[in-house]
Amino acid sequence: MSKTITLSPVTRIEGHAKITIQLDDNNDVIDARFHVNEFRGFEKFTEGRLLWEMPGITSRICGICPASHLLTSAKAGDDILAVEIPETAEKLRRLLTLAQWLQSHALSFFHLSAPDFLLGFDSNPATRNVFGLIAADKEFARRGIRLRKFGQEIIEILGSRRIHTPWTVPGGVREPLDPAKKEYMLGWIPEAKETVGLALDAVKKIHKKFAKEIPEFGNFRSLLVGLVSKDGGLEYYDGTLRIMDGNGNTIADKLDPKKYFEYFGEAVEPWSYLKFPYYKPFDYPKGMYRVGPLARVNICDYIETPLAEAERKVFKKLSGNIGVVNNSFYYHYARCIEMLFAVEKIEMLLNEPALLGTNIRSQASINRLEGVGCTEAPRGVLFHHYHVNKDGVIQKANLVIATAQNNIAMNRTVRQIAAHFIDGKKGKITEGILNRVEAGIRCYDPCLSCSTHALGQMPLHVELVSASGEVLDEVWR
Amino acid sequence: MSKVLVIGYGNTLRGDDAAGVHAAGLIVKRHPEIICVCVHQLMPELAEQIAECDIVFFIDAQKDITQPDMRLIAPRTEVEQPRTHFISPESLLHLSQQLYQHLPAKAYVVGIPASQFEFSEELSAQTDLAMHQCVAMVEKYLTL
Repeated sequence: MSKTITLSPVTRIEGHAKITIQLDDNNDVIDARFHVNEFRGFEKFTEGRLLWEMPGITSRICGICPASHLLTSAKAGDDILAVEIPETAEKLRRLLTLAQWLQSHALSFFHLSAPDFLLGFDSNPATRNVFGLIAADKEFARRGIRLRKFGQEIIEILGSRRIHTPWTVPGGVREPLDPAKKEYMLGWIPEAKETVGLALDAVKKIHKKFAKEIPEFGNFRSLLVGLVSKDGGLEYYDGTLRIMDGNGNTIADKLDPKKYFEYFGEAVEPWSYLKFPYYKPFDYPKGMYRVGPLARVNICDYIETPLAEAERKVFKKLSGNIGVVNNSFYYHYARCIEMLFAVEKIEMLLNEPALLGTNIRSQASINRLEGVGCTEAPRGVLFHHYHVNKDGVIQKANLVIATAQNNIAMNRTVRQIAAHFIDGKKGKITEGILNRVEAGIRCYDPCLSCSTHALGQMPLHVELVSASGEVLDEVWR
Repeated sequence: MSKVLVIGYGNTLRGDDAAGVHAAGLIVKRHPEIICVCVHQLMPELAEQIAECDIVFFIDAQKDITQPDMRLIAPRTEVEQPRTHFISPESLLHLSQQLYQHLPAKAYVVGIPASQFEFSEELSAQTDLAMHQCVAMVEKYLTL
């Protein structure tokens, strides 16, 4: 008689979810599923809206990474208008992308994951949060909050508000950068670099502290997918797709993101609203792939900023002989490296004279009836694909979101952690186990609001279910 | 002169939910010396700005009240589980105290009764009236 453990809702992630853990007749974990039980359906209700409205509408998918949807939607619009946007507009959009990375990664690391690491998986759940973090290390918490604020302030300066700014549009951006604001942003750079340095120091201590647990945190081979620049560098706004396998071999390179549908399929399962994208040549579910910081830092040949590049080389040493870091726990390290890159690159961009140009928008009417936009959102590569009629009215929209692309891998991670830490014979879910399973999901920093295009907070529900379907234990929080 | 911060929060696309944002906008228009912040939700990043002020007003639409309401609040000592999308005014005060060792001398939550939260950029007539009453309450306090 098999049994199932359910964790629902999952906490400190964006959205609602449930985890069920299935036991076999011997009370060993045989399967674990990460269920996403939200649905909102942006792809459907945007049909009939105008192309020019899409950045504003789709940015409402998420309150954490609205800028990524805004940018990707605008790029799909560029494709439909068949325009090349002005240099200044591209630089401003790049600045926005990096600010989005910075604020989202700072939220993930300092607010959501650091409490686990600094206070411990088995610490009191009532204080294992940002307030507990403040009690443990006030300066660290304060700096984390300020780092996120820096990213948000850039977004606010560019778009006049922190979230859901309608500033990016097909053809470019709406407003140029006020030169007076440039110096203000540059003034943040020394503190931001110092804070990211502290985060990186903390990550390395975390690796030592959790050395015994890390091998069970989503440690498996999978494909890794992301954008790289023309010469293979870390890319965040443009570029082509590269696919690396779990042995460090690049199996596909220089793929045109506009043809994403030729490489990736989307499977569905009856138990989750979150789709399961997979790499078509390997079929479902063998075509499992991971996107986001772990993938990006793994697949690129170099990072263009010096401090982040030095850190990338240290990161790569974690891979041993195979040249690829397969353990999902190292998403956190990769995220910190990307924060460092973002700060360095923001400084570089702010010092480029072209950033202050005033030619910021290419005007055109509908020149194609189909367009694809692709950027690297904080959690991974993001696609917006629109079909329009000759008047620019949306006929069909498809959004492929980073969190969904990690879905198969997240399920695999939950299964691995559950199998290692859960003793099915006891039929109970302890707080420490619960938190470890959640922490496995948090490696990916999933945004379920985005991936199901749904609204959300993130409580957790876990169920332990026997082979006969009996719920042996259930935890809500 | 006291440094006053008015935080109006709510979703401007959800009808009455925007009442706090509208109220803060009106107050700052009439009293430009006041610092005004309009946001969708309260976030930990506001703690620093709160710590730098003497008086803070959190103005929000509330569906569980029938009359405009202004109440003094204190930092929440029993800690709630913070969410990434929302933090309470009391917890924000706690955060200001913990992180910046400073609290405003007084902090108020100004509640505007609200009932319509469907997609709309306009307030219902009742909430619009209550919003103006709340603005008057804050202005009266400021002139004392």
